[in-house]
Amino acid sequence: MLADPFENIVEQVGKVVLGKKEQIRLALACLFARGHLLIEDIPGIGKTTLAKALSISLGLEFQRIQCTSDMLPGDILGVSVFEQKSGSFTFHKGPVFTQVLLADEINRATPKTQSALLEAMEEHQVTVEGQTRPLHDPFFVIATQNPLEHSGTYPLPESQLDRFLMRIELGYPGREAERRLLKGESTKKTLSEMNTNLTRDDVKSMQENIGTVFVSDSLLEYLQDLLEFTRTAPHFHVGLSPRAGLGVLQTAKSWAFLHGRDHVLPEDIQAVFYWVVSHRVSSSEDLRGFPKEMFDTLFQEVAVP
Amino acid sequence: MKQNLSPLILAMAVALLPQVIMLPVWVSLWCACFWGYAVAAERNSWPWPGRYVSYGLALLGLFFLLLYFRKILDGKAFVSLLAVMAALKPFEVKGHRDRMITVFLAYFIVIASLFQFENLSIIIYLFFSVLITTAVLIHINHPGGTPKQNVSLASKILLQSLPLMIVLFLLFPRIQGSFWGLTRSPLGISGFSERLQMGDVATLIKSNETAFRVYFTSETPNENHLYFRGVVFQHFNGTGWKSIPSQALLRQMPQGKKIVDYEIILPAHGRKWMFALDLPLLTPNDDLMLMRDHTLRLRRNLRRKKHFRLKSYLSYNTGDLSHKEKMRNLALPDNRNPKTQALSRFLKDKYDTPEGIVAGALSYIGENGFAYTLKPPLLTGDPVDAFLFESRKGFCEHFASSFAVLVRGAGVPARVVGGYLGGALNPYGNYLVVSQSNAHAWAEVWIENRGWVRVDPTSAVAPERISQGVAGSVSADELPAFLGYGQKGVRHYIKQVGLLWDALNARWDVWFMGYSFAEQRALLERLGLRVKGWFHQARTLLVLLFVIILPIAAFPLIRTHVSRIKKDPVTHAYNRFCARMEKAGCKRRPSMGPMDYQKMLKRRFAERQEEIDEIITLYIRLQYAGEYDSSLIRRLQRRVRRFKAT
Repeated sequence: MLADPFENIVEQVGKVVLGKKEQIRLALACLFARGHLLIEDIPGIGKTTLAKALSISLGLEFQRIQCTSDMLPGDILGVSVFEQKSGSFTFHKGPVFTQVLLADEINRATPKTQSALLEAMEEHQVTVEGQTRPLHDPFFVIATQNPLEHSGTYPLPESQLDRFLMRIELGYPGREAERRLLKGESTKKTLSEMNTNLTRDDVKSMQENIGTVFVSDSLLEYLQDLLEFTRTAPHFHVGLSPRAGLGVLQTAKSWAFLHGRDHVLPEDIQAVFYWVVSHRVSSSEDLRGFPKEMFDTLFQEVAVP
Repeated sequence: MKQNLSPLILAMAVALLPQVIMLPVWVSLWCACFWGYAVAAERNSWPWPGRYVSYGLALLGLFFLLLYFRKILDGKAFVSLLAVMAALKPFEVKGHRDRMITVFLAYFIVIASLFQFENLSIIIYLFFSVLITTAVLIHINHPGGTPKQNVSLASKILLQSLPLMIVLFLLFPRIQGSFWGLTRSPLGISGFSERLQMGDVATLIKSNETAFRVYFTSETPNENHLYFRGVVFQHFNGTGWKSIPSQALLRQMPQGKKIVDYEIILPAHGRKWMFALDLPLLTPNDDLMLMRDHTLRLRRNLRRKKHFRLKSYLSYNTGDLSHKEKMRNLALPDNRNPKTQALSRFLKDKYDTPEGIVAGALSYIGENGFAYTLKPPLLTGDPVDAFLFESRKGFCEHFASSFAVLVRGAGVPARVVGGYLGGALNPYGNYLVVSQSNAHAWAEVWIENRGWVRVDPTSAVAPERISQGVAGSVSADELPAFLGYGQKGVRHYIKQVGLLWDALNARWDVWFMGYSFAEQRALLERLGLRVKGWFHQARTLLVLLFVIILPIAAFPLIRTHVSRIKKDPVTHAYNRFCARMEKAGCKRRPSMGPMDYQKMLKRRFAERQEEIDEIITLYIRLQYAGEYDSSLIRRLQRRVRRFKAT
């Protein structure tokens, strides 16, 4: 019963982003777990489309910023402008005052601008000119970024990366999906045709329900074993933080809920683990990232209780 | 790369240390040299010998060993080989496995020491060595601990293994005999030889080494009965005495009374000599024979310290003498010692009974200015003549052999007996320590109706030699330094400590070294198990050993198993289910959660889908969904049990 609206969204978004149902499910699990999502891949693969489609399907207020290197924090947060009529400064809200914020190509912004988002993402509030203003609820940031090797990018620092609950990659579409794409099933058209089948209250209540998903002791044991392994095994440069552990658990709960269960299974942990932690760990051989295959050995080594 | 060699080398060095006194000096130097280099090289990053250099050194070591030992492959050679190779071991340590092998090598060196030494102080040291090696073993597996923590954990482990050690000691069949030929070659044997030249015994007297220890089970006999018979000399060639190979005494057992029960602990001397209080009875013992000359002989050379239960008559009659034996004990070379022969003829004419001749000979020695000394002048020419008529200074051996020659010449069968006289009573252990300085020689004469009778001519000159030992009968300046005693103060206490330590050693010998296959049989009998033959006994012992050890070994396993079921019945039931499916050929990979496994099982066992679903669903409900209640657990357990039955 619970799975139905969820599968409905997946279906909807899947019409726009062809052949990427797994990524859509992960992204939804992330958003329902109140987490921010980072989509990373080369240009032209459909990152922005996915982000747009997600926000439309959730029926939330949506703002988009295109990050560039000359962008300033004020362009995101908003500025106070002197109004001659009233003779006083009035605050003009920036694009951050919304429910879903799409920060396109976030790693093209300078570190200064990037960090302006930091408070917003973590505290769900912004402080401009000494005054703290709360953001909307729910508030999601969906950011996209190009792989780090590309020119003209400012890599996100670890602390900033850590604010994202999940990082997903889209990858090339499958052969059949690409065929449909090439046949011209226009994304623009489908996007505008998408109907919003959820409301803000639906999203809120789902988020609350996810909080009640049951987590057993033996599952926590399994999660702790996994965390412990990343901290002691030699292939990991730095182990996972407690925040990463919380993130995995939160996402796994969301994943379980979206699959119609009221309790978390080891499979849920395994399904989301890589996507939640891959941007928070680095391998001791290659400090830039962590190949997915190495996580398979992690699951082989740490037995399910 | 650092291999953390120092602890390994420490363990080996500690294990090898007691061997140093036995090993050839070059082997000890070889070890010190390579181990020292290995430690220094690791610390200062000096060059490390490559593989071929190591091989070369190993070959060189082997070559030296061959050169040194040639064909003598005794325990010493084996230990030397072990030491030479152990010295090179650090150079080939490359990883954890090599480190483990090196630690086991250290244990092996300790075991080798057990074949070489058996006295208490070394055994205590070997315990220490095992402790150090175990601490090193802990260190290489858990490098985090401090040395103190490692040693304390190692001592805990050793203490925990103590009951097991006792059970193994008591029940593991103690088949006697040399193990891999690794028994030791006896160290510095002193004792009698098959010959007795005048002057031999003096070298013995100068040694304070313990010859053997005696425990009297019955009352301790009077000190003038403490004659321990070792060897009998019957053939006199004019200058010296020779022992004739004797045969086992089969008939004409000596008659006697005043039986003494005692135990003798005899250290390995590498020969077949056995010492027994005059006059030993034949006791049922597989290792001993009673010979015709009334000595006891071992069937095999004594290569380990051993203890024997013996019985002796203090008063006895050995009975008749065959003509052949009488002639043998009267024989004298014709043209030697003419003056002595003249004296013999004189005695024979003067007295008509053998007793009279013996008394006359004794009184001749007692009255003509003979003196007891440990430093007699050299005897030239016919030694008996020279002693009886010129020097007149000597010790027991001179008196005994001259006396025997004298009475033989007068027609009384006589022979010389070598052995020990007296000993020091240790007040702490209530036993007699007979040391080499107690060596003595006396004579025996054969008298009709009385048999062989002991005559100690030394007593005619120095009766205090018998009652007080050597120290009493010679003047102080003649005594070797160690025999000087009587001083109070520090030396007195040192002596007391020495006696106490000797008593402990003696206990150790009786209780541990003396614990043999025969004692094990006695133990079995006390437990009500009668055994026939050694094979049956060994089997019974092994069965008993396993019956005792199995529960000890199984106890922790069972305990953890039971507590695991009690603590987590759900996981246990699920694991049982998984184990069963694994037998059916569908193994759960460690990464598989219950749902993944369910999918896999359903593909394989489509016909049992419902059962599988039910079990997995129950498991998920209990383990992950928080529906923990006992009726559900029982249902899961039941389902899992039934799953097997069908």
